[in-house]
Amino acid sequence: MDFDKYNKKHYYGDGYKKKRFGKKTFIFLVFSFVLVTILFSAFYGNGGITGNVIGSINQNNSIEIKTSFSVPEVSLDDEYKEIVLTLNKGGVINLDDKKITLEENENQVILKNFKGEIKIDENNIKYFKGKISEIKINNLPVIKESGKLKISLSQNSKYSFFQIEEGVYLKNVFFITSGNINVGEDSLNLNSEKVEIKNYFGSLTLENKKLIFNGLVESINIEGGSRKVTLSK
Amino acid sequence: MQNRKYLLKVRRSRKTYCLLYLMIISIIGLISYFYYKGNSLNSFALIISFLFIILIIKFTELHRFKDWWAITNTSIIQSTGILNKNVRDIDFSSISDLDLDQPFFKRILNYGNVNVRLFLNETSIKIIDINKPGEFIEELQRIISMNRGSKSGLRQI
Repeated sequence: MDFDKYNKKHYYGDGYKKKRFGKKTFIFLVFSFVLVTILFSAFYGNGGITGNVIGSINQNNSIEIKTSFSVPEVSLDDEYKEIVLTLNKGGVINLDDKKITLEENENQVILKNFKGEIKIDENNIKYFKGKISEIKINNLPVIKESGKLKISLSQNSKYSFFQIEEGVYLKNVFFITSGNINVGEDSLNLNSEKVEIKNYFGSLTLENKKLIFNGLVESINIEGGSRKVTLSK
Repeated sequence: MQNRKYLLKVRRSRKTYCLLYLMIISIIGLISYFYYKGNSLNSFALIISFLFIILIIKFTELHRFKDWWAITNTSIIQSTGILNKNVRDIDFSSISDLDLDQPFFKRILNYGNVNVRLFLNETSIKIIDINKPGEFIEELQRIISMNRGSKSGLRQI
């Protein structure tokens, strides 16, 4: 008599094999979903701008551009010499342990030697945290005698102007946007097209719901509708 | 049963979950690759990746923790479940034979199942996916034969 057969059936039940297969299939399907989401997000998602790597750009291989794009989400994590921004009324600036609430309708804030993280979209500064050597709020300077000041802004602070005048380096970014790019005297209009920028070095300005890049770039790929354009030297 | 001395206690080997760990590594690798390349991933992709990794680690550890098998001086103990515990204590005298179930893949990684069959027509104990099952069988056989020898009635003169 084949007792083993009887035993396995008795011990695990009739549906044993089927159940295990179901669990494995479920895990595999979830894994596939996660992979597809990552790949989709990397290649076809709205992307965004993430600049955090200090790099170098070869001027001989670069072209000069000026853009006016609709604003994707911009994430920056680096060191900048100067940041100028205009915050709206009600914004809160945390400086070390002090809290400064902005009273004016428009408040110009200048930050010197900022090092930290910034996340910003069309209307709000979603995240802003770092260290600075000096800050001017409506032309009133605040300086720490020794060391740096810790700065953070309240979440989703409304702004009307944001500019990093120089030193923005973006290694490889892509996003879907509308607007125009000026390369020398030529201009290219975009309508919800994917833009991939490689090795950008220059300024970054967000003003009137427009993202303005003004600097040097190694190459720009534009993909959308039926066209595919590559701009490079 | 709790106070008895276990000569050997085993749980499922972590090698059982190597495919799941491979999934985690591939997800982390992919995210790192895109981060290095400068392609930013949206927060949804990052959140579900993170959740998947946490759930897999949680699942594997709970699954591993759920069952254990132990050898004492006189018996073999099987414990299954975490909340609903089911413990079987089988005396060596009711064990008829032991067999090793180790397919090719498990053999490469040196883990596998050990079936402990009983004389009586009742369910055998299946010790699932343990590390070095061959050595476990040898150890169990040694303990059983020692135990049977001590009960055989032979005395040293």
